[in-house]
Amino acid sequence: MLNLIELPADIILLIFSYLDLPELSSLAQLSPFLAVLASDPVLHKNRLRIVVPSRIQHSLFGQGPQGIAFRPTIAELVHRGVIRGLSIERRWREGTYFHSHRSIIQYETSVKLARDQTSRIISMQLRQRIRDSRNFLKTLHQAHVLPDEESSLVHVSRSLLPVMRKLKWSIQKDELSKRIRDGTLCSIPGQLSNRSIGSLEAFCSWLESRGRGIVHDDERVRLAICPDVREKVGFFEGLEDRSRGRIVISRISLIA
Amino acid sequence: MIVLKTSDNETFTVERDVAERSVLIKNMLDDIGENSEQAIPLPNVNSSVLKKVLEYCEHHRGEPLPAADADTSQDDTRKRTTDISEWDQKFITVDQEMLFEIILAANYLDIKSLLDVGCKTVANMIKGKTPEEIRKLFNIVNDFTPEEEAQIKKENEWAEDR
Repeated sequence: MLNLIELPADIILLIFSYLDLPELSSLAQLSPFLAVLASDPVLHKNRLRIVVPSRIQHSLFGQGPQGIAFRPTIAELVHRGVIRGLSIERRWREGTYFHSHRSIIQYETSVKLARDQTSRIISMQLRQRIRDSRNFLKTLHQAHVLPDEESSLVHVSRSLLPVMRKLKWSIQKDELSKRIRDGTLCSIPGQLSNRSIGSLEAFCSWLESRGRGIVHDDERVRLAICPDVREKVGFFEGLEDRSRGRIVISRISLIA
Repeated sequence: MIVLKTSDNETFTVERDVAERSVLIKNMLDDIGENSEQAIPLPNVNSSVLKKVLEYCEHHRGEPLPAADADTSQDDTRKRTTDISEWDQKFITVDQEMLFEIILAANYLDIKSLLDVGCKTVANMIKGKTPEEIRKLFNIVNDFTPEEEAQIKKENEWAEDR
């Protein structure tokens, strides 16, 4: 069978002239004959004089059989945003654009500066708007954008808001427990009573029925409503030793 | 019409402009004159290869032939890429044996464009392959002595990791 190395030397050299150095080096490792041909001085002179320039020309500006360029032009690269730079298109058209390390740094700096400038303008605009309309935050609050009154106050720092909310919660908690202790909890709808103990009873039953959804059956809430319940429980547990019957009675009296 | 006679004594009758794609035949015809009915002997080409070569010449008839001498640099620069046109690609898709036969015939008959297509095809087969793969592809026997092989390996170390 006909083999590659049985071809005449000048044909092998013609084939080699279409190859690149790595492939020639691979071929040189195959047989002494090919090794000699691969290092042929005329072949390499031709490569330097003819092949390399035309190969570069081809790979940069070559066209396929349908006349479509193999590589995108610089203009296309610019349009696709692959090549970027300061007003690159105009400068490239003028022939004054040089793609260098410096031009890349310059471009990146300009982008950063533009971004800084934009953010400065936006924050300035926002600040001015707040200053212009004093009731700006209040309108936001009225539109239920901001959750409560504090966050719509200009003179309250945003970082204080969580603390203020906690404070408001404990104030409300104190108020509720005070009202229970006073027995002034008769304002719960549908449970009107003159006697204070009666009102407490009504509150407890309300808590068991409809209040369940509002106030979760949680020790923390219980303590918030009746801060001294622990003392009372301790007292009744102390009584436990004496008489079973009495405990039952006293538990009933606690509820009553 | 021209009559061509192959190594296995088969005759092919072709039109003159098809046969003249071969510079060898063209020169012969110029030498022996116009109205010769004699068959042109082609002792280096067998019939199956000549059939293939004539198929190529038929398809490319009428295309300008490369100038006899003034080809070298400019012609080379233009063609020194390994792209092959679509038809030629299809035409040259043959087994390795036939490919080498066509290259030899094109060389003998002096059909430069066909020789180029053949050589480009072989080059494309070699491209991007490791030495072992090329050895397997062309069934090349390793006739290096161990010392020679070590020496060659050393010389070509630069190309190892690419």
